[in-house]
Amino acid sequence: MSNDEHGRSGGSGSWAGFLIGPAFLVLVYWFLAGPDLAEIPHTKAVSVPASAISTAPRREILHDPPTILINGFKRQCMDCHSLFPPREETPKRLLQHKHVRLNHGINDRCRNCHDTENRNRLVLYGGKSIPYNNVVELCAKCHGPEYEDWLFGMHGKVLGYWDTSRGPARRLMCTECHNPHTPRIPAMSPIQPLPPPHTLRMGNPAEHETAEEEADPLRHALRVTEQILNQRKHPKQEVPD
Amino acid sequence: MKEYFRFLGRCFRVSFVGDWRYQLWMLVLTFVVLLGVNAYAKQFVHGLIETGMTDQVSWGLYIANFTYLVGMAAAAVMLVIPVYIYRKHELHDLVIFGELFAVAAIIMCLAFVNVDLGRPDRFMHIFWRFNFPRSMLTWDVVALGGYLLLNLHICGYLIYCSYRKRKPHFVFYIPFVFVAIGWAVSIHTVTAFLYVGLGGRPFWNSAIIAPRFLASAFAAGPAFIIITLQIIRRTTAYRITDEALALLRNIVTVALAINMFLLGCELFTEFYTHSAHMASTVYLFFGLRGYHALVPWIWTSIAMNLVAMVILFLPLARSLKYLNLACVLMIVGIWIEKGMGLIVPAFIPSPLGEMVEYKPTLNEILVCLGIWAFGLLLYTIFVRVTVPVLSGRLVSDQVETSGAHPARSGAS
Amino acid sequence: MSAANNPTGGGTGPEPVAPEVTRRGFLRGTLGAVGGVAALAAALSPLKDIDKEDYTLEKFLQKHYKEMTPEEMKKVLARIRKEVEREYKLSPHLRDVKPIDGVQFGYALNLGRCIGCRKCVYACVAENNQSRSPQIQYIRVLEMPRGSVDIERGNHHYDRPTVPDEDHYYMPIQCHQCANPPCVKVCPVEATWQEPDGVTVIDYDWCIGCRYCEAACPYWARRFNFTKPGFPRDEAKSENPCGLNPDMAYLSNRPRMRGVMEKCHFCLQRSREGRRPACLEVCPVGARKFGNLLDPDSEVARILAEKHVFVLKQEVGTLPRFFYYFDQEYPRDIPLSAFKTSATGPALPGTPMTGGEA
Repeated sequence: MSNDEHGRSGGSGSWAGFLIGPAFLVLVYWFLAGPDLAEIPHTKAVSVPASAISTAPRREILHDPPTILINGFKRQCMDCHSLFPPREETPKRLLQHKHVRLNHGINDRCRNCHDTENRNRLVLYGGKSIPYNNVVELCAKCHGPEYEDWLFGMHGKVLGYWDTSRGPARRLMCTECHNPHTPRIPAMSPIQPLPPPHTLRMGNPAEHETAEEEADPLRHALRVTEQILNQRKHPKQEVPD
Repeated sequence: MKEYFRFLGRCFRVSFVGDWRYQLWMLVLTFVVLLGVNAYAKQFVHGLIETGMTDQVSWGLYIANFTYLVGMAAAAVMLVIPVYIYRKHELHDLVIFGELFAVAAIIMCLAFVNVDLGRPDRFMHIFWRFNFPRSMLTWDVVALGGYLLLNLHICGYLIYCSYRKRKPHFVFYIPFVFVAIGWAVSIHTVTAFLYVGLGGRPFWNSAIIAPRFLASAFAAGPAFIIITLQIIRRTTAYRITDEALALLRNIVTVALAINMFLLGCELFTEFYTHSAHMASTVYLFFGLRGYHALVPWIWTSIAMNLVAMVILFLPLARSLKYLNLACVLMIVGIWIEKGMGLIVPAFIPSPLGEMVEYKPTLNEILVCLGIWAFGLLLYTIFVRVTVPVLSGRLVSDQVETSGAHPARSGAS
Repeated sequence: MSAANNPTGGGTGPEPVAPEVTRRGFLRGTLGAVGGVAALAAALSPLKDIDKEDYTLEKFLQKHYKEMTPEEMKKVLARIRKEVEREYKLSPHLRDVKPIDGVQFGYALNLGRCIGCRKCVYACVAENNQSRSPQIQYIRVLEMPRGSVDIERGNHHYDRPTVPDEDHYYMPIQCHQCANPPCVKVCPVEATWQEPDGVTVIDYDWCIGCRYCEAACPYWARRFNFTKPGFPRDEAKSENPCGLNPDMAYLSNRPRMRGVMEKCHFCLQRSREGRRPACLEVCPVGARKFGNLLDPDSEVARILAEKHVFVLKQEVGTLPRFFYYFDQEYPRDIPLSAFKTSATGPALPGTPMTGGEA
């Protein structure tokens, strides 16, 4: 290309220049009436019922003396149990209170905790009477370390003020979380988790599952152990000794 | 002083004058700028939700372009070094084109940072409570602002001297030139430190990032200048020698080779160590857990850089056609490497291991294009004004006639 | 401007100083200029939807939190109260809560107990008025494979009918209120800082939204308001139709605006008045513990003293105030009888067995 007066804006340029203004008007039309190319992802708000995030304890504790509803009437324990004297205790199927499933480890006798003489109360080994609404001392007789942790707020849950000079704190009792008959938490009540995160432009993570790391020795050992334990739990065939 | 404003006024008017190719080019750029302005207006109203960024990938195309352009700006002074240190006088005037590009690039950088802000209306807060020297971002503001002023001064002074047909006094520009050389290294280093200093992002937390930045910038920047100079040579009477292009070619060749070497070092460290910290690198190069949006990009980039390097090392590169091909490959390849390849993967997976990919929205791309068009528009005007000044066709009328008639203002 | 009869840069003669203005050239230039201005105006037309309340002089001149006098703070609080009343139709109990002397907050989380129910996540959202759409949550609960504390291997999106799953444990992650916070270090405008009680807070009216802190945080604890926070509106309710928590503080849970950062602040509006954070109170298994690290009798001080606690990503040197620990056997439901045990204990090599298997 030559470097001399090549691009003189002569004839064609002068009329083409008149197109600049109208060309801008096309752009004006586009901005005002053209399609909106901006995309704003509108995600539906995930809401959970207020009950799902209530701070109330998981369980309601019994009063002292406890009452239960029988045929629509509030009854105390002794209303019936004074009629039926205590019997020699052996492991047996319950005829009443059939909803009770006892899975409390090696603690498998009712009267380890229940007072056979006064069914309205619980009882310690030494004979000290324990009310249903404050069972901590009773549980502590076996669960020493947990009791100690609980005393300092490390085990269990404390509601209310951390600074007790400013307001009250309420330390939940053992039975406000644990079912005394099946005290282990996960076994007691697995719960439905609240919805997973759904953040902006997240895509669908379910389509991409994490690959298990097969080579990890720890995972391998856990899997093998589990298989063996399951086999022992449900022996299909005799395992040679 | 009055004369200086007259000079600015004449420059302004000259920038509207040109043949149909010039007019068309400027019109197209103006259109793209307006599209960008429109896109940004939408973003300004609705927020950064208009972009593809998320809490997981919190920096995207804007910061990627910013990083790339900081490099381009820094590289522009690569032209300065041989001129003033090695006294390569054939490049003397060309330095100005480099520095003008640095000015345009820094303005684009500032624009990219600004569109990336969630609250641009509060930009002034940075002057009211400037967290210096703790935040690297404030260092970057100092570095970029200072570099902009330095280059504006150097170019402005030299061009204005040429306009007045005066010989530039070395006191007024040589010290600034040397400061600018050091400063150019600093702007890119500081920008690299912006990322390198983040312990929570292992992908960036590597000392080699700063040298890699410099190397890639010193490849892409002069590559851009090579192409620009040829355009100037073709469209104007301004004489640009082949020696100048050859010198730039040498710079580019060495810089690209160093860049590829540093990339290799980085990859070896990541993949041979095979620690958990390589997740982002794996994601970038091979994809991770079924996500691989960036894989084609990075391999394209590497292929482009490799082809460019091969061309440059062969005698083939003496032909301008192949040199230009290599330059274009390099400019694009390094843009991908810096943008998609350096900024985005550091966020994937997130620090908590969540995989959320990044896909820029159309609106975001329009804003980027608008800023690029604005930068090119500025640079075109700079060159449009500078060429007649340097070639002595636009000179102060005071030089020839003492009683200069006041310029009649044209339309627009 | 006339371009007629002018050589472009390619000429050898002098560049025209004042090009001849022809009638045609003038007309053409005017047309172009008018078109250009019209196009610019049209390009800026989306700005007509802007929320004008967002750009008042009062807000523009508002000072940084640390520079405000009590009177200025009072005025700002009054302004925010008015805004909340207008926007969300509720009169908030809004104030600026100051740190308590001699208190350094700490948090401990018992991983042995957490069941991954995500109640903490949603209690936090309700307490701290996070945007519901798009969704912003401060707490992420990770379902972790056993045998790993590498959080990058956790699953964020588990969606089971019930939790806990026996093969996993659960790790909630939120702001660790680091003693050496990288997010504070990087903020260019000092919009985020660490308070004397150890909580890192944000002045939402000062943040410029650069998201550098979000990139710096190794725990992904920061969230950005990509747009104005959205709340589903219950139009039937004349008061508080969005269901916001009216108990608000300036540095914590007052409604945020578009384009600013936010994060967990240990529920300052509660904790600085002596109460426990919302995530703790909702936890159904008591896995969360909170208190004053400087008080040796506080729950968390005792946990630090007695349990084997650890912090996440210790290698990044951020010195978190958020501690994790396991204090019990993993709660799996394998009956004791599945193990080969005898009355005297487990079968060890060389130990004579008494009797057969149970």
